[in-house]
Amino acid sequence: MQLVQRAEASAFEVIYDRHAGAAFSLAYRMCGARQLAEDIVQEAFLSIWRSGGRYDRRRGSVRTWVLGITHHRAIDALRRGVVQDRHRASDEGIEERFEAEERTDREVARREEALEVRGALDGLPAEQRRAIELAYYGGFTQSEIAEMLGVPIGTVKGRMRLGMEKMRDRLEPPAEVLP
Amino acid sequence: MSERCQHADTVAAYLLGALVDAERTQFEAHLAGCAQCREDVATLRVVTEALPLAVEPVAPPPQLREVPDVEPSRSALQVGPAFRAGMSDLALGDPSARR
Repeated sequence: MQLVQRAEASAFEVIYDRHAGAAFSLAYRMCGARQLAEDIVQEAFLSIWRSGGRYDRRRGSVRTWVLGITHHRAIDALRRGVVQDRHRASDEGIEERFEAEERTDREVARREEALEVRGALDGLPAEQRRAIELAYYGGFTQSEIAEMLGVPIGTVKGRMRLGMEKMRDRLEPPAEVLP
Repeated sequence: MSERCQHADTVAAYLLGALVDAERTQFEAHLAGCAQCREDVATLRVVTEALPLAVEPVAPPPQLREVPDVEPSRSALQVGPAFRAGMSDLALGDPSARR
C-alpha cells in the first residue's frame, strides 16, 4: 500500500512541477498577495489530489484544468473579501520572477505563448481590454465593473464579448479551428 | 442566418467568471436549452484558457510542493486503480506539453 501511495505522490509531484508555476503566477496576479496566492494554489492542488485526477479530458489539457480550478478558487477568495485591498500585483512590483535558469524547449514555447496572448490583449481597444481584465484577473462581477466604469451592464457585457471575439480571431484564426 | 440569442452577450461574462452565483446558475440553465450559446461558449473558451498564460511569471514557494497530508477522497479510494491511473494520466498526459 505504501508503494502505491508513493507512486501516486510522485505523479502528484510531476503535475505540481509542471503546472504550479503558472497556477501561482495567476493567483498572484489576481490577489496581489503572496500568502493568499499560496493558499489559493494549495487549495487548488489539494482538490486535484482529492479528485484522484478525474477530470473531463474533453475540456482540454491538464494545464487548462489546473488553471481553471485556480481561477475559480481565486475568484472565491476575492468575493469572500479575503483580499482587503483589491489593488493588483502589477502595482506592487514582483520580487521573484522566473529567471532564465530553465531554458527548456517547453519553457521557450510558453514564453512565446505568453507573448502571443499579451499581444492579443494589448491589441484590443482600451475599454474592451479593461472590461476583460477587471473580470478575469480582478474577479469583479459584471455589475461591479459597470459601477466602476459608470456604464450600463449591457455595455460591459458587450465590451467583454467584442474583446473576446477579437482575441479569439487572433489566437485561433478561423481556418485553424480544431474539429 | 438564425437570429442572435438575446443572451449572447452573457456568454463572455460567464466565461470570464463575471457572473454572481445566481446569474451563473440561471445562465447554465439557459445553456442547457440553447445550442447557439453552447457553441459560443465552445468557441470563445479558447480566450479564457489563454488569459492565465499572459500573466507575469512568479516563482511559487518551495513548500507548496509537498504532497497534501490528507487521504484522497473516499470515492477516489473506492476506485483505487482509477485513482492511480488518473494521477498517472495527469502526470503524463498533458496535450499542451506535447505541442
